Formats: sequence, C-alpha cells, structure tokens
Amino acid sequence: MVDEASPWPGEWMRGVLTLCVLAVVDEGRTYGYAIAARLAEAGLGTVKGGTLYPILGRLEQDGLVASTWGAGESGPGRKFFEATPLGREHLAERTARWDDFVDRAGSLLHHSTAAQPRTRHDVS
Amino acid sequence: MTSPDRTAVDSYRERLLLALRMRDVPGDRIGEVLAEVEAHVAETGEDPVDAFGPPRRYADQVVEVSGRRGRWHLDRGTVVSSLLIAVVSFAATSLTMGGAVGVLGDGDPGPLGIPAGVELALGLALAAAVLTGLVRYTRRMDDPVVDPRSGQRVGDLPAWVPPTVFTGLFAAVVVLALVVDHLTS
Repeated sequence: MVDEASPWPGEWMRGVLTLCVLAVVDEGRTYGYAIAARLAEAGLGTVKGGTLYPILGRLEQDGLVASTWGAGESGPGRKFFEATPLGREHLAERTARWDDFVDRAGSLLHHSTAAQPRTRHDVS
Repeated sequence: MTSPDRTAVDSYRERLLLALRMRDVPGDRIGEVLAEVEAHVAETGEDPVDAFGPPRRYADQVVEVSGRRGRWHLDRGTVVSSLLIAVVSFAATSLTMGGAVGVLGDGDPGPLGIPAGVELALGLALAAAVLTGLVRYTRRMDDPVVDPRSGQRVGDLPAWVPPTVFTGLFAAVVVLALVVDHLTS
C-alpha cells in the first residue's frame, strides 16, 4: 500500500520503493523514521510506517538487510537496519538493471510522443 | 516532539496483537511488529492509526509480506495425543469417582471388583499423569510473544493458570459426582 501523499502514481511507487528503501539502508546504519525522512528528502513523498516496516521486514526475511534494537534518543528504543553483503550485491545488480529498464521505457515513451505529430503530418 | 496518547498506543497494540494472533503469525514476529509500532510512534508523535492504518488492515499487510504460516491443521500426532488424553481422562475420572463414592460410602468394591481404596488410588494416579501431560502439552504448544527490546513476554497468562484450571475442573467433576451420589442414595 502506498500513501496518497506521494507525488508519484501508486503503481510506480510499488515497483520501486523496495529498491529505494534498500538503497537508503545501504547508505549506512539507519532506522525507520530516518529512512522515511530520507525518502521524502529524495522527493519520493511521504511513506507511512504501515508501508515502510513491512518492506523492511521483507528485506530482512530475504537476508538483504539485518536489524538490531538499540537505544534511541528518547522513548522505547530504535530498530536499526544495515545492508548485508547479499543486500549490497542485490542492490548493485538491480540498480544496473534499473538503468537499462529506464532507458528502454524512456526511449519508447519519447519515441511515441515524438512520433505522434509526424504521423499526423504524414496522413494529411 | 509531541508524544502520542499513551492509551491510544496501548489500545492499538492490544488490537494489533489480537489481529496478528488470529492470523497465526509466529509469536516472535508479533513481538517485533508491536515493538516497531511503539518505537515509531514514540519517535514521530503520530497517532498509530494514522501511521499504520487500522490494526486489522495492518495485520493483513504484515501477513502478506511475511507469508502466512499455515492455518492450524490436524496431524496424526495431535489426533493420537488428543484421543489418548480423552480416554485416560475418562478412565481417571471414572475410577476416582467410583473409588471416592466407595470409600466414603459402604466401602464395597465397585463394578470392577477391586477394593474402593485401590480404585481411588488408581484413579488419582491416572489423573495426576493426565494433568502433567496436559500442562506439558500446553507449554509445548505455547508460542510466546516476546518484546525484542527487553526479552520479556508480552500479554501472557501466568504459568500457574493452566495447572490450576485443569486441577480445578477435575476436582469439580469428582465433587459433583459425590454430591449426586449423596443426593440419590
């Protein structure tokens, strides 16, 4: 589930959020609230706890991130997340494929928008 | 940073715990999820429902991600041990009731032809065995919710509850039999 506060279409966010969360965790040991803040700062919109923690749970279950409980500045502690070597490998591989994906989708989108006026010209 | 209403957080935790239990999520995973919610709202000051959605819907999301552990099913071990418990419980109750009635009444041997005192002792021995078995069984089936931060169990019955309940039920049946015997003789 992706929150309505995101400036991007829900299906785009669903497709890319897991990888982006892994990328944020890969930047260094971090925790839930800081991950959400980093995603917002990157321009991906507000990601609520109800969306974020299940993603982190899945990443942990798949062995891509590891978690530990530690003391927070206040209150009942923080759950810290770190990328595992497997997680870093997965991120590098998916990032490379992501570039290829965006290139292909982008060239198709640009091609069709550029091609449309020309087609009309050809017909008239 | 405003701290969320304590009672709102506690009530959310309780409802989420129940919703996750009903979806058969393992106890250690429930402990993690509850601690995540509590830590997150303490940090952000958000209302838990705003941050995580209604408890039952959030429980669905947790299940969707972590994969449902199969609904409880009957394997052969469960069927055999349940039948064994039922048969031995019945024998224990019958022998204890018959023996107690015989000892407190005329002292005559019951229909089995063994002395009432022996019948009572046999019944109580079987009852002790089945009660021990039941208590062990409930301990083994137990899947505690443990807070990952403190290692403490969350929202559990104290350990003395199952033995007390089983013993109390057994004693109630025997007392009832004695009362019925006394009233009808």
